[in-house]
Amino acid sequence: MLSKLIKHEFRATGRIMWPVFLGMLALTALMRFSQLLLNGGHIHWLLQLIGVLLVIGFVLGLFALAFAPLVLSACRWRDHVLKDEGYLTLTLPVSLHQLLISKLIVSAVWYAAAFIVGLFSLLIAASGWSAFQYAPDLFSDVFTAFFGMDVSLRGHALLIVFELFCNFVFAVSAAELVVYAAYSIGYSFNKHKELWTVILILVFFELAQFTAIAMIGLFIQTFPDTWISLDASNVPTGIELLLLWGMLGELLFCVIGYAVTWFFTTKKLNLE
Amino acid sequence: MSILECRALSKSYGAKAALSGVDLTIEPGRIVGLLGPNGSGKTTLIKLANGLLTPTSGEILIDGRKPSRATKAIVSYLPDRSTLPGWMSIAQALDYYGDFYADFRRGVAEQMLMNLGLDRTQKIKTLSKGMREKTQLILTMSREAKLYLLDEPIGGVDPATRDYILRTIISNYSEDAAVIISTHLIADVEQVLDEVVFLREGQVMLHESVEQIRDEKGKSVDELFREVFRC
Repeated sequence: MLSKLIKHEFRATGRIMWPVFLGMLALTALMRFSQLLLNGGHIHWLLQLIGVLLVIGFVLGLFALAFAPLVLSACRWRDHVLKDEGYLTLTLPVSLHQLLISKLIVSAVWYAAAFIVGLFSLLIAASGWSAFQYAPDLFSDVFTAFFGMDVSLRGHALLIVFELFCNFVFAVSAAELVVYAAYSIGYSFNKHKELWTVILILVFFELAQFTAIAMIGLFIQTFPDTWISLDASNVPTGIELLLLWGMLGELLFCVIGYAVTWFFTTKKLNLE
Repeated sequence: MSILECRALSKSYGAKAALSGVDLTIEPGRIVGLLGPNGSGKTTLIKLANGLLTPTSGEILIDGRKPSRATKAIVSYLPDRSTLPGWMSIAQALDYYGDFYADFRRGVAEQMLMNLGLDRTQKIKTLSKGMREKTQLILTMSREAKLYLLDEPIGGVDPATRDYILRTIISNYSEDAAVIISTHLIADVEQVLDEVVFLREGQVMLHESVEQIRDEKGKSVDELFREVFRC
């Protein structure tokens, strides 16, 4: 059933995400084109204004791209589970765990796609299409540098890449679950559901920031040697430990967010 | 084994009791009317049977099991509102049901939709309220479920649509299945009911067969309801 949930989640979210991606790429191409025109000498003031607006639009577009998967996922949780659609969703012969996991997987995929589209957009904006001819060289340079490393450093590099990947997955999941938890609590009230949700989102993210600061302090206290005598030999270990610590913090928020969401959706569900 | 059983079932929302100490048994092969005025606990009972609410005390069993994934696979539920997402086309809604419910009879659903003259590519949001309700009913009744829970299936639709809905229910449920219809439009559903359950302020006031009511009390269900619930 998980695969079917994922399939339908992609179907539901794809109709929003694909146009967002295409829109971003189109905006980037337009912006790049306008910049090429503007560099060509004397230009009418209206065209200059359009060029400036396109640059502003591009920057705003990048921000929108960064938040789109999270916002979409939050709205989807609200509409698909906590509003009228919930009567259908929550009476499917699937567990809430499967439902949550399917949403987290799909959201992580959209985040990865948004990251790639954002990177593409920046590349096009910075150097135009011609930069892509150097992409194969970039990959070969990375491979050459990797295999040119000392064997022990290669292990560290792989571990850091793996930890970065895990951090990405856990961070995305933690953000989603915290928002789901806020929605699930907010929608358990009879009145002012949206207002409660917004307040809870702000409170939870504030709490997340305090926890992150506390965890950094705790990290420095727990591993003082790593940072006091920072030299080339222990930099990779320090980064690995820091990433691991970050993962633990994200995992903590995942667990809390998951438990709260599960509890309020099963025990305190308040469909209209 | 009974298909639905409530044992001292209670549900409260804060201090307000929606159901209190309900004992009820529904056998397979029966069409049961769950009748009562607004706020009598009909929807709460149906939500409990679907696992959308958890009981405050007591228990509710579907085919001998507490509401779970397994019971959801044998219960076909029609809520009292439109639950299909507006962006979905009718074909996508058929896919959705087909993917999740092993007992979904796609051919039956397609035939019924064709009889209504509905285009499968049409989006749910473009359908009229009546058509949306019919589509949802078709999806619900196209399942070969053991228990059909229909919450206000004829509320808010015109008389012709009511007839269509009742015809669809009668001609599509399996003989071994039970159908529970929650409504306060008794006169319209009376003709199709085998049993009635009267709910008042969260308690079962009466659970009898329609035949018994007619023979022993010499009244129609509608007349008895008006008498019992006179304001």
